[in-house]
Amino acid sequence: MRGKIDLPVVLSSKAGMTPPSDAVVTPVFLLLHPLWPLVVPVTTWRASVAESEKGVPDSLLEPLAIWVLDCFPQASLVERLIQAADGQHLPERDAVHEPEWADPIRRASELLWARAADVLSRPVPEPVLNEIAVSSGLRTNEIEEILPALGVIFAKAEFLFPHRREAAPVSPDRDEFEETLRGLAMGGSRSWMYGLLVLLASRITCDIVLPIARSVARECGVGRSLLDACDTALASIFGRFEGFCTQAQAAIERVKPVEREMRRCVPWLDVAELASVLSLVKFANRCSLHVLPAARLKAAAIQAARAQFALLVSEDLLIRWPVSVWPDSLLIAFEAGNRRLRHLATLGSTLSRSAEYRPGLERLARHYTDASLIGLSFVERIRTVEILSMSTTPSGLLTEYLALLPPSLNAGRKKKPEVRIYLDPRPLLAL
Amino acid sequence: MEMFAGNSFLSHAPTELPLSPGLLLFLPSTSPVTGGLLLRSHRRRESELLLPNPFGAGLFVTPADSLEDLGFVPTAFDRVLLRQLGAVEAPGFLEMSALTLSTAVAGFAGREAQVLARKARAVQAERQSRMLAYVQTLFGPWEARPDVPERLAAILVQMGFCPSEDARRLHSAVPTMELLRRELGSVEDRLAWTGGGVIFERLVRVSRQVLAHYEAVYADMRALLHDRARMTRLTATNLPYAEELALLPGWIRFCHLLGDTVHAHTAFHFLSDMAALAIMLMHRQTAAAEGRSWASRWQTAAIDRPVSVDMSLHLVERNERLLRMACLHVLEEI
Repeated sequence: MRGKIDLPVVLSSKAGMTPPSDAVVTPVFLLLHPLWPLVVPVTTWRASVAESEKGVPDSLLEPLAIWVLDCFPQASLVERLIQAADGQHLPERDAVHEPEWADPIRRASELLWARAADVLSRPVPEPVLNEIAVSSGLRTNEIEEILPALGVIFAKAEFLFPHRREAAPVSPDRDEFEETLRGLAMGGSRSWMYGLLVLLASRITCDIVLPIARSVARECGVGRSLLDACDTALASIFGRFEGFCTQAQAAIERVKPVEREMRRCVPWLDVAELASVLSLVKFANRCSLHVLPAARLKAAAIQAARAQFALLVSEDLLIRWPVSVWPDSLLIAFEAGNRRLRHLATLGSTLSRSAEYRPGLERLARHYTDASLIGLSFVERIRTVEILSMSTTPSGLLTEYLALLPPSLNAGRKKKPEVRIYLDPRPLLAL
Repeated sequence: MEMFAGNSFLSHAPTELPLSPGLLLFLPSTSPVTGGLLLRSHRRRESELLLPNPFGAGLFVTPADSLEDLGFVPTAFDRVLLRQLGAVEAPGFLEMSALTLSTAVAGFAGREAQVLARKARAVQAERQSRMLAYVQTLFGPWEARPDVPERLAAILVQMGFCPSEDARRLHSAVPTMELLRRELGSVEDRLAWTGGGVIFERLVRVSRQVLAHYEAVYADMRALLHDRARMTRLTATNLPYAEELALLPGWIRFCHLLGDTVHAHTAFHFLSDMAALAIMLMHRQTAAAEGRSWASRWQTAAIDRPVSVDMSLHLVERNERLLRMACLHVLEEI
């Protein structure tokens, strides 16, 4: 496991050395990626007291991942789930008895988060602490402060970390949500701040998070520290998101599309993240709060989304799809991937203009229409074009197919007689 | 209900009068439409599509071949299904069910639906042959009119009745009726999480009415099978409960939608989707229909849908999922 560490590029300024040109994600990426709203460069973390209270230094991530994944009993299971690659390589299953497809990447992530919560709930042994301190350049007492707070975040992972493909805002059960926030507040001011930052970047909108967080802060906090943290978290999240988008864009620009056998499982800015940007910008504009950072965030997100979409389209055009009949798992993952692309285009269009995304989708649709390239059947091609197309008219393939079918339902039938009712103006004139 | 006990199937006139309202059929659509689509089928006049009014109350009526003016882009599944129905003179409940399965088998609703529909079709064919053997035992020699045993057997299979292995009797359990009882009977509890309100109360009231209605239909169907005199009067064009059976797939979809809470954006969106479907299914074509006009008063259009969600994708995915659940329902073992 140690040899496979490949830090996600959006988490570390150093990680520019290892851009994720490979489509396969690593366990470390799945473990650490949801923490991105917390991560700051170690130099910034040292330079400012405010940053040190609300961030995690990036130098701590690598030793943390090594410590969590060391002797991880389910490591091979996680590896196998990752190899299933977003469902593209899942084994055949009985559609009757298992009607829902699992998301292997999400399942692997859940296993990793549970492991992290378990490891971080216990005190770190002295030799390990010293080793982490040496490799991260932090003092042991600083590490001892940060790790339990991260443990609390991982323990609430199911609640805090969004499903990356879900664009819809989440409306949690109020009691359950309050209980989670109370748990964060009980964990101390650091876990409270971490939790708020992660929540504000999640799909639970600010309209839900902030009022409930403020009421919990009043109930559980001593003085105004927890209450002030709500405002601080809201003020910081725009900058963090902007940094995330900027780094993502820089990483995307370093990647050259190459011919591959499968799709990229996890893009830099997934549907949930772009949807969160949209929600944050709308919230800021509606409430006239942090309008300037929101505008900067929007500009960064537009650029990153555009660059990412262009890269994903050009990568898709280069994929060597099988030329024989596709297995169920591959076709279902393929359609889910097409829906994700369409969703990314919709979100990008909402942020900027649809004219920037429509040509890419049309190009892909034309690519899949070409019969010589891939092993999709005629009907599967029709469906693929239907998912990708934003057009209101039926595709050429569908028109050809419909021409082979019986004439339309009303061909040769009597039309319903038109009834026209005219208002007789005479009674009105007589008045 | 008394209304149905007294209403014999003979009240459905076999010939179409010039002002006949036509037969309302639920179309198991996968298009991005909240409620669903109804097809009004006429024997001689042109057929019409009924869809929920996106601006508020009531339904829109449009010719069934003008699919470009609906306000949404119909899916390939719906376009193909409607064209297949064009080959049938007067599509009814049986034709709609058979063509829905065959369109799904062709793959227009996705690979999963294709696999499930293929299995469902095989199961139905096997049940149909046993049911036909059972129905033939109910008629004396030369009593049955042409095509009646075949069509009656197909109707019974579509209603969820299942004959025993030796085809001598019907199983007492009917999965469709059990689904309606389970879901519509407990709709108050199922929707409790939405927090009540006017739409909630109306949905509860509708569910109770519909459950009682179908209890009566199923009871009368069983009674019919034991009434030799009524059986011998049946003709292929005059089989009982055409209207109720034409909307039965819609109520099955309603029951499945009740359980599809995971994908709902908010309680209000969920209720409005349920209401849109109920409005479609409760639509009656005669102004004198008793106690039904209340349904058209719901306002479901002015809803703030999340801007981050591509609603057309969301609804297509949801409707395809509901179609798969309908196929799974056919495969339910008795």
